[in-house]
Amino acid sequence: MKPEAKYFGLLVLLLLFSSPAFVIAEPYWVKPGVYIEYIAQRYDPYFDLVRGADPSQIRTSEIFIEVNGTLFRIFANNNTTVRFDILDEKDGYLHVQATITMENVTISSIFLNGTKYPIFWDRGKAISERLIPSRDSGFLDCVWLEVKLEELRIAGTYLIRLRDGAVFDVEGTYYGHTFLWVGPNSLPKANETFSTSGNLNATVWGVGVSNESVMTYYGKFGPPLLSVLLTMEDFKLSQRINDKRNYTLLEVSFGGPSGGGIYDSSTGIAIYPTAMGAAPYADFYAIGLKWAVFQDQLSGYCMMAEKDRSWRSGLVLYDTNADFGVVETVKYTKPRTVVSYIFYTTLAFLGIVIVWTAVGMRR
Amino acid sequence: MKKLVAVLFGLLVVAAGFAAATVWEVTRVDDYSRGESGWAYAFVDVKYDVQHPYTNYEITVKDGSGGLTPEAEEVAKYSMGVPYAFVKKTRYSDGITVETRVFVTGGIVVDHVVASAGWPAS
Repeated sequence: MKPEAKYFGLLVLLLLFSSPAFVIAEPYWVKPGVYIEYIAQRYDPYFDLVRGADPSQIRTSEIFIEVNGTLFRIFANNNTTVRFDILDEKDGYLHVQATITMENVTISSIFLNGTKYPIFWDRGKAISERLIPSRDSGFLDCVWLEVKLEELRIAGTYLIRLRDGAVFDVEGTYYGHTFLWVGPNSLPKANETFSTSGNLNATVWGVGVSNESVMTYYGKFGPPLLSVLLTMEDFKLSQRINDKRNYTLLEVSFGGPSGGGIYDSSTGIAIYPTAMGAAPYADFYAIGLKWAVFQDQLSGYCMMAEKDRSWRSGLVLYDTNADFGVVETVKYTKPRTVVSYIFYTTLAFLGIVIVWTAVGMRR
Repeated sequence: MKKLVAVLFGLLVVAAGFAAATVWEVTRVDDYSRGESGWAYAFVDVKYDVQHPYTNYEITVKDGSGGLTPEAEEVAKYSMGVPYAFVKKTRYSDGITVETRVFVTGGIVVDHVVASAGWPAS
């Protein structure tokens, strides 16, 4: 091979490996100052669609949070918003604040009578706070806490590693991949761990592309759209009463995908991050949540009552100041992996070298 | 001293009498809801004093289940597991709620069913 051909090959390889597509996993719009806000809002006509429930049993959110070793169940009957603020970037990590704001809230828990339980809510905003003696066999020495509030705000900060979207709490514990975006060039792969907390792991069931568009409160996205489906074992959340006893507060079973969301294929942003029901996400684990379910009732109504499939459910993208620029509709046939890019680039390089060599031989 | 022993013995007899007079019954309160493609069932088992059923009682079990209706299960057999159900059981101070949501491909919810049972019965 002539020296020119070698230099040309080297140049191609340099261009290949210095290309941002291969070294940056986060989307271009992710930067300090950006916020992303989701909503699950109350919409009373939705109540008629739920069989067997009275209105008080239909919530926009239900979360379980552990505070100083005590597990609390929290649900909201009015709107719930979930906002993520990218505060700053340092040494390749984004510092993110997550804020969950819930309206018309009930907090409950069970523990031994006389336990000094942690108070993480504003007692000034409490409508009522009472301890109810337990009537559960085997737990008669316990009390149930029930607090009603007009509003509750839960906030926490955590870290996202820029190069791969890995989520850590401020102490450095790893929880998985952020759900806020998927890197257009580093889509999750089947069987990868998407999130992990204790003995609870959510793995990627599959990533799909659909030639559909959806509406959100922020605007229309797609086609095409990406969906990330997750799977995990059925699980329980139990309060530890003492060394010998646990009280199971929550049991969940899944007949199919246990979680997952819908993403915009152009920007990678999560537009319906909890469309498949649950939210087993690292971003929530990193601020102390153990479990979360969200239900936007207006989009749910459009989807179920009006059979309008341009709406989905769960959390819905409500607002962001991210600069997406001019987003073009792209033809999306199937997700491309890094390996496929390397393959096609190598193929092109081989073709160029053959032509180059042939031209050289004619001379 | 003898008098004190006699009084205590008397109180013991009276207390034992009251205890013996308490008649305990057990019952199950349940709730079943069915939608177009999902169902939910919740129940509580209760041991209660027939004289004071709503003040002197214990809830011995709070449980339930949920899933796809037989018709939806039949469809799922031939449609690669679609629709599928997501079932959540939540226990609270006086009962339990079972919630079933049924999804089809693309995260579309086609049914949402709730059953709840508690004591004192609501």
